[in-house]
Amino acid sequence: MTSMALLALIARTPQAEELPHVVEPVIVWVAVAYFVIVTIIGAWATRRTRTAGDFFVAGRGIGLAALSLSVMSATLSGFAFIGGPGLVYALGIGAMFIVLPAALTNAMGAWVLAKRLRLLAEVRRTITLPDAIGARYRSRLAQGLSGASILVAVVGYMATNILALGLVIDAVFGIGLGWGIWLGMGVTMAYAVGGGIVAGIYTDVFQGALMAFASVLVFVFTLKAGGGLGGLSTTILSGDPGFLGPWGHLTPIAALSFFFVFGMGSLGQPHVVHKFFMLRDPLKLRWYPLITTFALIVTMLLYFGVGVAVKSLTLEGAMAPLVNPDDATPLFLLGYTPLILAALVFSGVAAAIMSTVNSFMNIGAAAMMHDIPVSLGRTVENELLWGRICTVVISVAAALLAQHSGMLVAFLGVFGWGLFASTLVPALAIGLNWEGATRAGAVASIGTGLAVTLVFETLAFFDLYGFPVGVTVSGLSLVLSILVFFGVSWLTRDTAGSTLDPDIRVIMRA
Amino acid sequence: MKAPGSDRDAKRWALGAIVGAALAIGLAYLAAFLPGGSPTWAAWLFMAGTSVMMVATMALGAARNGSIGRLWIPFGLVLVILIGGFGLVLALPPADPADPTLWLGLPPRAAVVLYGIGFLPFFLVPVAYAWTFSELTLGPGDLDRIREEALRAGRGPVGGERAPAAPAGKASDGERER
Repeated sequence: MTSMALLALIARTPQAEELPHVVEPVIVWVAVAYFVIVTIIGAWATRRTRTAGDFFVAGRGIGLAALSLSVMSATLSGFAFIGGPGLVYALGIGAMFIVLPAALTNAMGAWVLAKRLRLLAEVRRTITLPDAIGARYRSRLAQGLSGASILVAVVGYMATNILALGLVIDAVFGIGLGWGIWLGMGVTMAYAVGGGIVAGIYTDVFQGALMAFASVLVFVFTLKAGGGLGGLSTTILSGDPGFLGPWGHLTPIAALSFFFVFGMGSLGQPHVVHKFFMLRDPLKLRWYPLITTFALIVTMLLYFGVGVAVKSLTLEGAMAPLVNPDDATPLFLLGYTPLILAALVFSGVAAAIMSTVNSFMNIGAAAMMHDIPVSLGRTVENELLWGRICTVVISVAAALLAQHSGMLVAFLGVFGWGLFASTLVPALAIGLNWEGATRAGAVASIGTGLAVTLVFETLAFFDLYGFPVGVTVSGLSLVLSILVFFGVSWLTRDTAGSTLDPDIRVIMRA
Repeated sequence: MKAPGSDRDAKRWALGAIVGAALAIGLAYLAAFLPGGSPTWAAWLFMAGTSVMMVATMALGAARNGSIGRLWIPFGLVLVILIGGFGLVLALPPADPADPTLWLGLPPRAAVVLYGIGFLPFFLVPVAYAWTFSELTLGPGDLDRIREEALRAGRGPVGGERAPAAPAGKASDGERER
């Protein structure tokens, strides 16, 4: 392919709805400064990355603050800053059920997974979650299936996030969506390939701090714009009382389904859970839920505040009703906050997306280079080199998918969370805490999660079949995979003891 | 019959509760397929199932030697907050737009959702985790014992490599490559 043809391919504008352009010198310079800082951190991390252990689990050498902030950053993708406030604007309180379990999920993850995964990393040198599943059940099949599930979901998730990053970069620099996608992916890939997860963790620390700081400031401006929370509520109640009903504009089952999927499903999010392998001192886990939960709640203030404030402003007539709910954050920032804060938030949005994408690049590369070959009875000689190569392959594939797959990219993004949850929660989270779980139960639950999610999301995407209101594919696949896990483990209970190695039993009883 | 907090029983109770909760959630989903849409009881069933499953999963992870010790207090309180909060939301009448009563700036039912269900557990669960960590989750002595026992116990054929039987906390292979 000639270079001109390649440029034309890159610059082609895909189908996504653009964000309002915010090309202002202050915003552009803050964004440039942000990219420079991230690049410097990436260069520093590259010098520190000398082994596959460094590349995939940061040499098990990160501290508590790095773990907490990086988990917070990776949890919140750009959705928390752009899509989330838009969803609150459209659905009201119902959209809050996505983030409502946040006060519980970090402590739940700490009790259920953190200690055991950290000890497993030490005793077995596990570097991936499928590795941990393989060790728990002495099963290459379970390891390979979970690795394949992660790889499928990672590429889809990355594609949606890279598309969102392209939209943000285009809005800030005005360079077109195609170039935005490749610039954002290029910067992220540069530090992910060089510095692996070390770069990811320390850019996450910077990015997490930026996100939390910007979110608090924006929340103050949302209260100011609406005359305090009471003023916002009074305005909304007079124009759209259902918005501030307990379920917003959702049905109770739909809202509760969000709570279930994003609460229990948090135990199966590899970009978050994988970080438990990396903590230097397991005793520091003591403060992890408190710090991470606090940081998460603070950073979610923007999610709630902007959605509610924009709703109130549109009902007052101060803003025109939004055609695209995703415009809520950009329009509020440009109209109601100082330009420097808008600049920080736009960089914060890019930060949130890049931190999530970086984690996925690393996890996807590990699944491709490590888990799938291991499941086939093969091992890769130079894991560091192949880890870097796989990172490039996955990143380019995801960027091409983001740019050229049309509506498919939205489809891939939709099932990411549900696929992670239904394939990993029973086999990993419950399985590491229940000695009665069997290899057959784990394989059956992973297969159920994979099949139910792919089949029903595909049918729904092509309008061939849709569930009744309130029933989500992710919720149904999660509950089915849990029931299959228990059911098959019970049917094959005689084999439970034989699938458990003595050192794993020690860790499970720890 | 042993108390829920006693040895072995905590895990069994937690596992039973997770299965029961999963069945309740599954049934609530199935009810949505009935003609006329989801009945009211399905929301109650879903609410109870989700609340029980999350608390039971925490208890399953926290159980050590089959016991959760003092953690039954925060876990019990969280269950009360979740079921009580969701129950209140389902039972309370909608806000009257003509005379809106606000609790901390929000209509009562929205306040229960955001402050009660969303925020209140922050003061219970992460705090309880930190408070009981050394005693009920992992203490310095536990760590050395677990490392030693696990390394002595050996390994199976798949799922990572076994660490060399070096003293706990010493450099790993990966670290030595530097």
